Amino acid sequence: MRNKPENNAIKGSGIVGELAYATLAAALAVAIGMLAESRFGFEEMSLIFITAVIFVSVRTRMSVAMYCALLCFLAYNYFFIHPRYTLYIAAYQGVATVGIFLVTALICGRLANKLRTQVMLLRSASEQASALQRFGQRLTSATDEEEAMQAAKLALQDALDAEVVLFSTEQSSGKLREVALSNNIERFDPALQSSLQRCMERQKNDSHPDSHVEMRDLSWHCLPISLRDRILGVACFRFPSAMPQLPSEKVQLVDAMLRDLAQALARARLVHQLEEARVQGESERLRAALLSSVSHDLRSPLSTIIGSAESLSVYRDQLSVDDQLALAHDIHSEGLRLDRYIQNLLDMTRVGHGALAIAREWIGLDEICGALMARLRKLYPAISVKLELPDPAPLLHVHPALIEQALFNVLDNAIRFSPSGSPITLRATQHSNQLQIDISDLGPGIPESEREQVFDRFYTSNRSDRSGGGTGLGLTICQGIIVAHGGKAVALPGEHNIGTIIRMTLPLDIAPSDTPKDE
Amino acid sequence: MPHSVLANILIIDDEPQIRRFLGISLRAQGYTVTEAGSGHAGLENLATTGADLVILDLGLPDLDGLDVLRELRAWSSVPVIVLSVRANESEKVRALDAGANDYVTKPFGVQELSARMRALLRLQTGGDASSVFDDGTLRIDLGRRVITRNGEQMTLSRKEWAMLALLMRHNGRVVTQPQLLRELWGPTHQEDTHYLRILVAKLRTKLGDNAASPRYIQTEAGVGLRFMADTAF
Repeated sequence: MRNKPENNAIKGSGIVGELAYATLAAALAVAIGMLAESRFGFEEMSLIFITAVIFVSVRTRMSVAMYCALLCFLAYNYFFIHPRYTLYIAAYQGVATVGIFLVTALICGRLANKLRTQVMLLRSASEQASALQRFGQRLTSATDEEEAMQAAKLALQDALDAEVVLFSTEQSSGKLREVALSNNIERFDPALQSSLQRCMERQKNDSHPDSHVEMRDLSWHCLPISLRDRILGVACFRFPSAMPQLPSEKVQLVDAMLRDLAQALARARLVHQLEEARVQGESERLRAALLSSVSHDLRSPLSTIIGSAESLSVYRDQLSVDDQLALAHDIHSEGLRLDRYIQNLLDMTRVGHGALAIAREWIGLDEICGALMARLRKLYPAISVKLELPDPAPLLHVHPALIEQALFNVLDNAIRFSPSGSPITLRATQHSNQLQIDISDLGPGIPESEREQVFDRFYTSNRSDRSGGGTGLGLTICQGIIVAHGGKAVALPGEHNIGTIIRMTLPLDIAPSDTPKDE
Repeated sequence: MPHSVLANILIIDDEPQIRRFLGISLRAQGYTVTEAGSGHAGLENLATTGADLVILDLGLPDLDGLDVLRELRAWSSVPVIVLSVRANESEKVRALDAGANDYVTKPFGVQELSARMRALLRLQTGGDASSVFDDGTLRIDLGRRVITRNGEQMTLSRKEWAMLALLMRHNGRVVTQPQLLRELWGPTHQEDTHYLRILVAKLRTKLGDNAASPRYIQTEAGVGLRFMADTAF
């Protein structure tokens, strides 16, 4: 009788209480019978006793109902059947009537009891089903193991009214790692640790454990979270002291929840593994591409340098002064180009794959532009870039050299891809807490299909041949730097669809309000 | 360039190729050049023969360039230009704070290095050239604390004067951010770089300077500020 204590009206009382209830009902029936007889001349006393038996049998177990029926029979006999106040029955017919009535009462009571039990079962089943459904929804919205565990902790807490600790097994070592726990739990509770250990041992020794039966002696109740014999974690519960064990009617609910959780965990782990494999594959590809790019791109300026220098030293007597100058000039400019490549590669390692700890300081955008222009003029003495900055220029809280490098890369690109002498503009505008920097050129532009790729590693436009090319890292580095500062970079078509705009947006921090003392 | 004709330059660098091209181009300009391939050799050379200016590579095999600098500064005030790599602003700042007078970033051009050397040598020989500055538009007299722009007298606050004086005393050389913050606001404001930005913006406005294409005060991103009396660089 699984549902015994919960489904009976006389909650919390055992058989003694039920017996008392039955006795009381019989006594009450006698009292009402007496009253009805003396006041109203009522004669069918059996109806009163039948009612009492039905009442009792609805709410008690079978044995008590029978006890009540017997008691009622005797009381009826003693108090109301002639001769009164004896247990002797004069008319045989009366006995039969009473007996049939009582049997009927018992049957009715049992039927009513069953119906009531079923209703209560249904109600609790539907409660559990909706709890399970809510839990399922929370699990689907969880994107990783951690979130799934947190959702499970909350759901189990609510459903069981217990303290919960969830452990996850490390994929590699199989060690347990606690991921979610209710408030105020001492995580190194020795009772918890020993329950946990016994749970794991039982799992090892027996592949089909009857896990709900044992562990009664311990304050923690541990259940494995497993999927197809693979243990993904352990769930531990501690119930309030009034009810030290897992209530039997919740067993199925907990089983179902843990099954759902196991599936969610398995799914999250699979996603994680796939992602790891993807990242690893990408960095392998990146390394290969980097090596081939380095060897190719560094070699071409190097060959010019080696060749020109050798020509100068071996054939200097045969060379005209102009030729000597031209060779020296090539050595110089190719050396600068080599330096730019190397700088890009170094920046690549600085920006890396996402995480970059940037040492920020305050600097004016106009100051960065000043340093930028000085650096550009060394490479392209004839270049003129039109600067349009807000006045006063905003203060940025950034890594100054990195931001300068990001802008330099975009400008360098713009210069190399534009017809010489065509205007290049750097326009900065402030939009509440965002700074937008547009660098526009009137070069050939970027086809729409390639606009996203320009930020990819080693992307170089086919049109780069004539302008001396590059490692294709410049814009990637720019984006890496901007993203590391919490901003983003996009490529857009220029005004009237001519040329290209590289648009960078950076969040603007508010400068500290304390101003320097100045008298 | 009469002030540099007999100047004796000591190059401390372990790369013979760099010593060679520096030697060739500096001798071509009339300098006397001494070369040292290690930190110890360089210090010994400086102690025995002396020099008017030292070019010091920070990446030496035997001694850390910064250690050479500290050792040298213990007994000599000779101007030092350090050779540093890009992408290491903090190293530049450390070198300048350890007593270097200026830096150039590798790879560097001979002309850029020569301009820096001239600025330092002029300071050594020219005496008080830095206390009065006049380019026809702007006239700054540090001693009398008078500044005029197109003949019109300007008023500078105390902090603005202090910053301008500090930069002009290091004419042509970088003054590092930590040094500026320390000297202007004291050692507790080392991180308050926004103080510096606000003050230099005000000062630039009064000088009629433009940070985006500076004529007088140049920002070296992440390192510091440089006053440019000479338009050659």
